[in-house]
Amino acid sequence: MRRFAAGLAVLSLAAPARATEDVIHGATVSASFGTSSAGDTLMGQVGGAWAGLRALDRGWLMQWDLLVAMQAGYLGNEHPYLFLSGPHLAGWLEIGRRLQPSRSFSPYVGVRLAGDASYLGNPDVVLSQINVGSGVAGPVAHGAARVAIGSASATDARALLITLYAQEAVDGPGIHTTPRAFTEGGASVRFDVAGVLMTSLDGFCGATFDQHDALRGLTDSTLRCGVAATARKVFKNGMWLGASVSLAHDTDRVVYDAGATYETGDPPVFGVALWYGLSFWRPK
Amino acid sequence: MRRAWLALVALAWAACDFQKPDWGFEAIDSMTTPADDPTLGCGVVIPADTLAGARAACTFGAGSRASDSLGIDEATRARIPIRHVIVMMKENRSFDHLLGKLHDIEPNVEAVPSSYYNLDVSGHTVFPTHATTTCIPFDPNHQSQSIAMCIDGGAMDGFVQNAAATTASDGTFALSFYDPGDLPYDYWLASTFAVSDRHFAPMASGTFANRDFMMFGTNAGVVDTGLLYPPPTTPSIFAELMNAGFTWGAYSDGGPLSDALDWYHDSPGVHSKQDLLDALDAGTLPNVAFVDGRENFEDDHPLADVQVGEAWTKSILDHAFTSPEWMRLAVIWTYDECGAFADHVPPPSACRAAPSDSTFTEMGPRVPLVAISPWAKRHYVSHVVHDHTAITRFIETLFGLPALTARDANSDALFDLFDFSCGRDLSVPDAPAPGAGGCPNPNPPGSD
Repeated sequence: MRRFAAGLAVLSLAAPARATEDVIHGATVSASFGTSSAGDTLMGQVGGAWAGLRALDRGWLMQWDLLVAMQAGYLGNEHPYLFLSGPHLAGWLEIGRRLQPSRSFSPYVGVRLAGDASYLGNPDVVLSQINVGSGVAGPVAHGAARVAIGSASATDARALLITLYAQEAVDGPGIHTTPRAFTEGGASVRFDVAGVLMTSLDGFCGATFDQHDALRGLTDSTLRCGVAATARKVFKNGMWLGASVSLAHDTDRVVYDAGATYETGDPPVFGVALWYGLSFWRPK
Repeated sequence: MRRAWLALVALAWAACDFQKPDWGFEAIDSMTTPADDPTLGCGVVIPADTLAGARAACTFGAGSRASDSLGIDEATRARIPIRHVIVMMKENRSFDHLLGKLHDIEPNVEAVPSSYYNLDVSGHTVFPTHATTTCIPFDPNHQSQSIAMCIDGGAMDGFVQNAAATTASDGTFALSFYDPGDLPYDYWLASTFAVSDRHFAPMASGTFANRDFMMFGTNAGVVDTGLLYPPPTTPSIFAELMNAGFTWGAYSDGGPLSDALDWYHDSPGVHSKQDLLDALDAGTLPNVAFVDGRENFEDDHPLADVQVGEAWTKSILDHAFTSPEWMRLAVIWTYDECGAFADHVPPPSACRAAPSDSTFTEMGPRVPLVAISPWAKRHYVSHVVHDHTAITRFIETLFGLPALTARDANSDALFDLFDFSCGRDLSVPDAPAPGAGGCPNPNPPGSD
């Protein structure tokens, strides 16, 4: 722990006190493998990405990550595997304030809006007439609004943000699923070396509110926990390579009015993605 | 870098290794079956079914009780002298295929029309013929697209072409049938106890979806067998039983519930076949037992020898007939789906399970269903239309449980197969020996 704190101090003090800018934008190609309750997935994606972190006067920090892509691949919910393709739009924007801009390591507050929407289909298949693909096939949408507090360092060369956050997250309706809202809390770490590296680690847990089903005499709630890590290595020619890993798990608690309680667990949702990015123009 | 890769691989392995859902039924292994009520006995009168029309109109929803949809009041329901049910759901045989000659010894059973035929791939007519082997060496595709082809909009004439298209054969075996000489014990059961000649698979598809209807009152998003299981949050007959203080067990030396839930021998509530026989002998049956044979060997799923399956059935019923719980027992012997073996009766439609569910309302082809119990009517043929959710409704009624979905809520509950009046001969007549296994076993245990 002491070594970690010392590292933070080095990171935050070693560089001159100027504004940080770490931005990538360009075309991306990615491949991913994932598991889901609807089956395993193997996907490819082609699109454009724009992501970065920018400090304004060392007081304001803006972070964003935007992806517009077409994706295609296979979902293992049917024999033979189901080919799917369609658009994918994902993005988030966080604006935060370093409360003591003159200090290299400052208290930080920020707000984030995030959204992720995709539609994967197959023109030869009616998705409601085959094994359910909810969570992968058909409309899939997630959204979240976050408030974060923590510490942030932002120099010209490096940025480090360590935050705790609370957020409201929403799963949109799927082929056979209805929307669900989660109240979540988590911790996030982001470390950037301008023009070289973007990394983040995020862990959270959250739950739905209890939903009472009077007809069947039970109350249902879901607990979700997850962790995700992302790293992008940026090269001098503007190319970047990225990797991400995520793991999430839903457990459901059903309490019958008569007293019995069942705690069930979905299979964990695991994902790994690798991608290659090429800037439309070389960074300055 | 190497460590990073190792960590990544370990994480992927861990994620994949735990891909099994957790159904949260651990408590079943320590639950005790409620004590028998010795005052239960004959004399219960199930009222005339005056709500069949309302059920046909899909009037009732999830949560409805037997008093709502069946007109059986709580006092009557509680006096029904059946406290144990064994669901013996075997695999992949249609009614006409397995019991196509039952009409000859039980005339109330609808006969296969002499004019019933399919066309083969060359356009030649194929009529039902006596199967030449009890080990049919083909397993035609029997998932949703194939069964739709077999049903052919109600013409019931696509079985041979589907079988030809999906096996290395001319497909004519799909129109074959067995007779009492082939399956003496199966025919004895069907002609001695109460048989239904209008029992349909709940969905025109394969094992998983059809078994899911029995356990959940819905296919729970599963259409075709193979890669997908219902989410463990799906309301189930297991949870409903436990919540009401009743017990269940899944018994198999192979995949319990024919693998439809991805349960294994160490899953809560899962036991071996010998455990079932021991429970029958000791009088320690759970309230509901689901028993399955080893896949493709004892469960009649092709390429199994159906005479081996017949002997497996008898091995369980021999213990049932002598069990101290026989007077409280009903065994429901049926098949999950037709397996793309032909049946001549077009499947009807049923109620949609839930608004958010798949839109599957067309049942699959008929399968055998026989109620075996001291309280089952003898030499009785039911023509009441139902599917596997009638088994669900039967269990719900016996144990006072609410309907899981609109599908079971609007289902019949099999009670026309039973007679609880006093003065009947409740003894079990002598049974014939099963077939001895008339062909080399193409699929010995462990070969699947």
